[in-house]
Amino acid sequence: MTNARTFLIEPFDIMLHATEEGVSALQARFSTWLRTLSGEARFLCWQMPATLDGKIATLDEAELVTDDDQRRDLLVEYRREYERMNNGAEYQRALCGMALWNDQNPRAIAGGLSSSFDTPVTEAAFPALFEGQYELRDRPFWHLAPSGRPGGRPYWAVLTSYEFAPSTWNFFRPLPPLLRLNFPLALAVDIPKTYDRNAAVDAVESIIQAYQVHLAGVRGEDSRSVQRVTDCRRALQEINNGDALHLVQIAVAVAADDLDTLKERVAAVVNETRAWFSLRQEMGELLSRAVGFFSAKRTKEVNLPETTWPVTSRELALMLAPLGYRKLSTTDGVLRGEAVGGAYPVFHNSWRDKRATHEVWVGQSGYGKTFALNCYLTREYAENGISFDFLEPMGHGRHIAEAFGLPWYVLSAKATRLNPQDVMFPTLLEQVSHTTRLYETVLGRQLSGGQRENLERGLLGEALETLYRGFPDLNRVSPDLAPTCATVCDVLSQLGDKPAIQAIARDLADEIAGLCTGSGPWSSFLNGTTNIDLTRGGRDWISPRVFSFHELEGDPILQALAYTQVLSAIRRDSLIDEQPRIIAVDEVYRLMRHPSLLDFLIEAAKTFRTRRKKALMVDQQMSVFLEGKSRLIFENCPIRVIFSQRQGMNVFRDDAAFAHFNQQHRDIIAQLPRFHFVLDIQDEGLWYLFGKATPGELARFRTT
Amino acid sequence: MAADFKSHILSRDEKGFGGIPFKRLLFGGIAGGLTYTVFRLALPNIAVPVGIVVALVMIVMTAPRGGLPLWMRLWLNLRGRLLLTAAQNPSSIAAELAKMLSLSTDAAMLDSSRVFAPPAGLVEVDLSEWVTFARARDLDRGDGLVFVATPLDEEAL
Repeated sequence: MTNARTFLIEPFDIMLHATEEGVSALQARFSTWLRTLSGEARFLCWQMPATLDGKIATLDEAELVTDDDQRRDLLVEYRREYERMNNGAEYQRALCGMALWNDQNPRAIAGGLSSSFDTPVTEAAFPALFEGQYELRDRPFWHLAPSGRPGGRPYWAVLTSYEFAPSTWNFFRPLPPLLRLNFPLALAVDIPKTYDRNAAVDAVESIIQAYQVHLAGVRGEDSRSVQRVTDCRRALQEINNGDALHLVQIAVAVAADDLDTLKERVAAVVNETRAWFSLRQEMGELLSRAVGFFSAKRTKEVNLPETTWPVTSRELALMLAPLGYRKLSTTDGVLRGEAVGGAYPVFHNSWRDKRATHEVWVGQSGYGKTFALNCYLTREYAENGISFDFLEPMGHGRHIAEAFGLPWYVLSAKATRLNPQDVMFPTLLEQVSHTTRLYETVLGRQLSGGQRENLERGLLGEALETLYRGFPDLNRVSPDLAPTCATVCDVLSQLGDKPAIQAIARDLADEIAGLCTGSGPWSSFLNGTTNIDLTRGGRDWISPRVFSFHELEGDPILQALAYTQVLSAIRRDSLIDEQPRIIAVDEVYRLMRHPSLLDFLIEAAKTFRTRRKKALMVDQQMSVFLEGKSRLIFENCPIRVIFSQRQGMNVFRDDAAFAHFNQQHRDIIAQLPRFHFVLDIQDEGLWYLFGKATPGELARFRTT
Repeated sequence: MAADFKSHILSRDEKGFGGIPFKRLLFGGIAGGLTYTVFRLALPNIAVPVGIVVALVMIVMTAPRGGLPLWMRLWLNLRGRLLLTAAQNPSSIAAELAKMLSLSTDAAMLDSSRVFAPPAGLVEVDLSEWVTFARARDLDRGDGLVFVATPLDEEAL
């Protein structure tokens, strides 16, 4: 005898498939899977009341534990907001499941389900419809009542289908309106039998034959029989086109806190579905047995009088519509937004993995990217105590710095000095390579690829090594001890053991000196001791920092160098501990367009990840993350936050990374209004969200 | 994106008379006919009315309500009430009747831990029930590796 395999399926958002083609594709995918059914199966959907109480309790605990006044104030603010949301809405939690009776490998089944339904599926036990003991009661009508102390447990009634009306079903009617009734209920689509093709054809053909005999002898009109023959022929055509024939029964369990409400709810469910299928309220022992529909019990063991209905796979696919109605899910993590349509808050914890999960944020200017980023950083800081570094080139870092009273590091061509020789890497080889990359950016050319360039690279490396070897421990070289550009040029100009090499060394030293020393264009920025504190300074925990590069805007090279040095310093500190931290880099393209710095960024992203530092790369167009080597960064970012991309839709159509997007997804992305975005989390799902902000966040970041 | 649901393509429901399907009329007719035949032998005077009444009763009792014939609904209702009475008074006549009808009083009380128990494959394996041997022949010696439920108490040597 085959055992039951139970799977839990995470519902997805049908709003993201809501076009004619989208839902057709969905129906085709579902029915293709249903055609392969061989044994018994049962689809379930549970809709239970949910609250944000868990979230509120977590914030309460954090509020008690924290000794940071600012964090405590923010926690109070967020707690109040969640309480307000909790009081103002009736949230539901929806979960779907599938029970299958066959001998296949459960992992293979879960994989098949997952790819067919395009949503995460795991093998797991079904949740219980109710807790504790329940007794059967017949007055005032048949129902199940909690036995002993009710303890907030509701009354239950079970309805089962017995007749399906000839009507049109789609993914929006009749089952989704049931879920919108917004009371606790569970729905089971029981599939006790799937005919194999030949048996199905034989069964239907025998019915046609019987009706033909009847119609041949009947006098007058028998429209029902004529219709039945037409239906049989249509079913035969669908079966011959690959569909399977299934026997199906629907069961609905309804709950309420008192019997009057239960009666009303039962009537509401019966009325809501009347045009599509008729429901019978179970009584007596049938009620006790019908509860088995919401467990992994075989239909035979449930043992209800047979009132199944034959449907083809394409019809049955529409009975899986509840899969497309996602409701409030976990409250673990921070608020990422409010679902458009469903109006439930979406939380996500990106720190569950031992490593950090990087993110890519894209969106045109003015669509709420910066505002959403400020809110996100604030929430992670307040709720999880996760500090951040925010690097941005426009000067709007001021708002978050002011809101938190943070030091605002403004890097300026006139006042700031960043020494390229500052030690950022633990080994000499890495440090030399890093400084060489910076010089390549300054020179605007690569020191490789040709004989002369290779020699130059070797000479520059030798000069740097000579200088660094002068220190007994590289890691103890503080910014005030690090050699300056002028010193590098001096040492470089004296290198070489042959005249030709000496000439190359001198030329390179002159070239660098011309740019970085004396009256060179970047001498005041690069030649000298770094005058901005990027060190850890013996601290266990580094508070949030904001770096703005707007005063370097006139010079893209300086800006790229500044970005690199700040990121290098952050990277260096990242190696010391595994404290979670967010490194948000706005307008990351400014860094990526320099090939040498792009390599640095790719490497940094990997280091950050292993040390629990989340890199959050922000830019205007997704295309910049998909070209050439930049793709390596994109592929390291499983979370993608997409704001309006009106001007760059081609990548979502053409790139394999977005093969899971359908036309509706693309249409949504092309037309995203302000403060709306698509949150795409690899292997977890896709959400169409509105960037919901608290009144406090609105007040703080209104100007952004 | 839609599907027009069909009528029951695996059952026959030929047109009868007065909205009553042919099947039920036929069944009522046979039952009435049989009753008439039997009564013709014993009580011929009332055979015709009894036959008619039985035919009508059969037609009425087979009328579907909620997908079930009326007789079945009445029967289930009766069984349900009997079940509740039997569950409340295990020593009553109702309990005896329930036993006669193989009606288990367990159905009157549902325990969620039993009704919604996960399938056997998903029950967590208790490793402490297993003994592991490095080699099959070690089985004879009986000294295998066992998983203990809790740490063992420390013993002084």
